[in-house]
Amino acid sequence: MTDDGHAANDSKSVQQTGTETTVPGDPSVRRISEDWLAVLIGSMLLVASLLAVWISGPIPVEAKDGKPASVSYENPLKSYLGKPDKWESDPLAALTSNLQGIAGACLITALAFAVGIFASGGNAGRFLMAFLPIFVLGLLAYLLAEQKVVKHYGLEYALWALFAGLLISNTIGTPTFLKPAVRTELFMKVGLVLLGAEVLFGKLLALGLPGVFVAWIVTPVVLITTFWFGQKILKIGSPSLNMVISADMSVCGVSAAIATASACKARKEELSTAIGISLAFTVVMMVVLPQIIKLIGLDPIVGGAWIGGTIDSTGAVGAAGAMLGKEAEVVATTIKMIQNILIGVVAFFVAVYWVTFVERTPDSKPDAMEIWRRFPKFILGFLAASILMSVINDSVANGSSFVKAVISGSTKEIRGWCFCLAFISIGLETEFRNLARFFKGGKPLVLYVCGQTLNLILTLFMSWLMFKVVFPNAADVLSK
Amino acid sequence: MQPMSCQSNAWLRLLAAVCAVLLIWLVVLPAVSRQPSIARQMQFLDDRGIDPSARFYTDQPAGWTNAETMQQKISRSPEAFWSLTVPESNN
Repeated sequence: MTDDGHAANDSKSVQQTGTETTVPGDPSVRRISEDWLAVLIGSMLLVASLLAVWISGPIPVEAKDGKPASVSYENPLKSYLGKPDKWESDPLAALTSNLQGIAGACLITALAFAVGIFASGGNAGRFLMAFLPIFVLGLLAYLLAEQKVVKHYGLEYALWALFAGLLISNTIGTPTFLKPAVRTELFMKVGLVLLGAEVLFGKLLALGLPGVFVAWIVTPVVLITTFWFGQKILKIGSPSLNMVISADMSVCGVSAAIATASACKARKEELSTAIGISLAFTVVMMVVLPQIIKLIGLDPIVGGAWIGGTIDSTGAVGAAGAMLGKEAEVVATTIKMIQNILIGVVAFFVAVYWVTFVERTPDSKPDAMEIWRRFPKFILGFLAASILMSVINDSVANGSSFVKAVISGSTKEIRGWCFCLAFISIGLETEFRNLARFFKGGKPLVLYVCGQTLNLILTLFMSWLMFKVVFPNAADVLSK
Repeated sequence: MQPMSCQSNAWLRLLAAVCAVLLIWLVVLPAVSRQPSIARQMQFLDDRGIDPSARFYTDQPAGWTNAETMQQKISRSPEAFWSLTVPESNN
């Protein structure tokens, strides 16, 4: 074991392999791999959402305020999928106000996963018996995250789900009867397939060429440089830990960490470490960066682009941008949205790089079949969902309204529950001492700080270059 | 199998942690949220439809509207976002 906590084969990875695996707590033989199972369940949920919106049909919208008559779509599943509402001092009210949505989310996710597990030859009955307590833990995590102050500082449910799971596994231990539903990889991969539906490629051009340069150029440069720095200078023992922290910091926080962790088969503790560091720095940057921008008198458009390109979490970007005014907020959230879309591209190339270069033995070069065998197949489900929804959004009449109804009404909520259950599962499978050793020597922290410093410098330079030198008219248009 | 005293200690540790969570979430955090400066900041973001805990742009209530605002601005002056401005020479 190295000083940054790397230990081979001592802990299960977020993504095991594309080959056959066995169900934890269920030794029955699988018919399909976990990756394809995730694609199957994710596709089922996505198709059901698409059909629900399509069958309910378009609703005519009358011409108003100079806008022509059009149609909009609503998702009939929306009222049956939800999470606790935001609360200040009465968590019970937050629960009861959305009881139908919470019960629906429990039922729909339980059924979808049980069907998938049954189809793959697993024991759906044992899964269902264990699922309810796991879901209740997820509900508690959501309740903790929805408290107003906690929410205000961007401390999202992933942290509390991890905390809830860790609390149980490190006190009374994870009860055996829960283990059939402790399915980290499956929950995470289904969540990622559904996240693919939200990755609309048309949004990559949402801020024209300035957005392309700030998000497309700087982000990959920072990602690759930070990873190289971690490997060559800091000599971090685990490339997957290095990659997850680099992607988390340079792309868009927790979502990027989840996607790359699955793509590069990182260990669960590595994902937890990256998310812990990222959330801590996000809270600080969300408060400090707008103050620095005001202090140095930076143009709000340049400042907004700087915030959008550097603060990890999407929510924190909106909050920090709003401190500088509406224009900065719009620019910041747009840059972050473009980075959100980059998740798909980053996850795909990380997966290809991993199976081609990182996992190969020193004396052999893997052939195409070997690369295909090792490739995390759920990424294909992620990309297929993304391409399908992008085509509908950009090429079909009223497609954007249709896509918005599908995402906002159902897939987004199910994706949230999948990730929440995944982090509960990570917590239930993790011991504090395993987690603590990833912080030993401080290398992950040093990597994050160095990478973020480079990110701050490059993004500020590129934002200034784009909006003040190359596209000054764009800044003028955005300021109006 | 764990001895009975270890099991009791484990349950006690869990109980203590749960009590601490209840104290923080039901007493401390509600008191913090009533602080005028914090309450003002939270209201400010609420009014703008910003959720600081949003994970993806689709989680952000203001995300869709901001994207539409941006699209409208770009469609009014596409050349400002797609045509390179060459700095004029002094000669």
